[in-house]
Amino acid sequence: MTKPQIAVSASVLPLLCLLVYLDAFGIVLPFLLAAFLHEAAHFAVMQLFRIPANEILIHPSGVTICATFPSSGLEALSTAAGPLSNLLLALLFRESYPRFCLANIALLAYNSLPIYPLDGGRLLRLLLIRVFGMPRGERISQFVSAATVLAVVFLCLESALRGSFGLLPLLFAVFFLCKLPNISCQMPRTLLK
Amino acid sequence: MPLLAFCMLAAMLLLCVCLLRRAAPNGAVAIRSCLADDESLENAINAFCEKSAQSELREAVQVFYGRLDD
Repeated sequence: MTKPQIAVSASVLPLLCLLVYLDAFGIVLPFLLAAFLHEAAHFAVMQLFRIPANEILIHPSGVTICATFPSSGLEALSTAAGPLSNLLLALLFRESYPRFCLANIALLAYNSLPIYPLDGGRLLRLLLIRVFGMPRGERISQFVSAATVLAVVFLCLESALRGSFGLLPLLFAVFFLCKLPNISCQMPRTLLK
Repeated sequence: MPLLAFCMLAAMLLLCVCLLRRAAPNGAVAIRSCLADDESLENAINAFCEKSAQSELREAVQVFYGRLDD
């Protein structure tokens, strides 16, 4: 099996430093550990079924594993492995390491959103393609992703206007708005064989 | 090899950041106070940890989000 190319975005390092600098409640380290185990779960399932990863991209909003899956079932299994690992870890460590449990719940909630590059969006896209066929299913998936991004941005802005969180919801709104171009641009990368 | 160099650079930078945080904690507190209220976040995280330790996970999540809404 050929080794995958690993590419790290230049903005990852300053963001990591900023998070560590601002971390007052010891939540960043458990969160990074949970994110690492989430990606490891995706990768483990791919290794189990001998699906080669072509490229691993590490960027500020997460990790993208680019691969060509032999079937949609295997793609769904590999995609679901990440959130399921978070659920399992949250349940396992709920008493012994509550901060790690919280980090896993946050990752599970974020990745379950039906926004395309995220796991929830990938699973929804596979389901819609199976139900409606290739061009129509993909178009509906793009629409659902865009609508969810706009709904999340609206909730963030509403929360910012209420004023209890300072600038944090505005940062989240910008973060999710940055996801909008990815919804259609990343589609061809994981098309089935 | 580039990944190893990246990891070494990341480790060095993170060490510097940790030292900076320890030497001048007021800077981080000032930035955080613009982003969000430290006290409400701390209360929410502590409330979650307390409930979670009592293995009431569903209630812990509800309490966490309830505290965030306050």
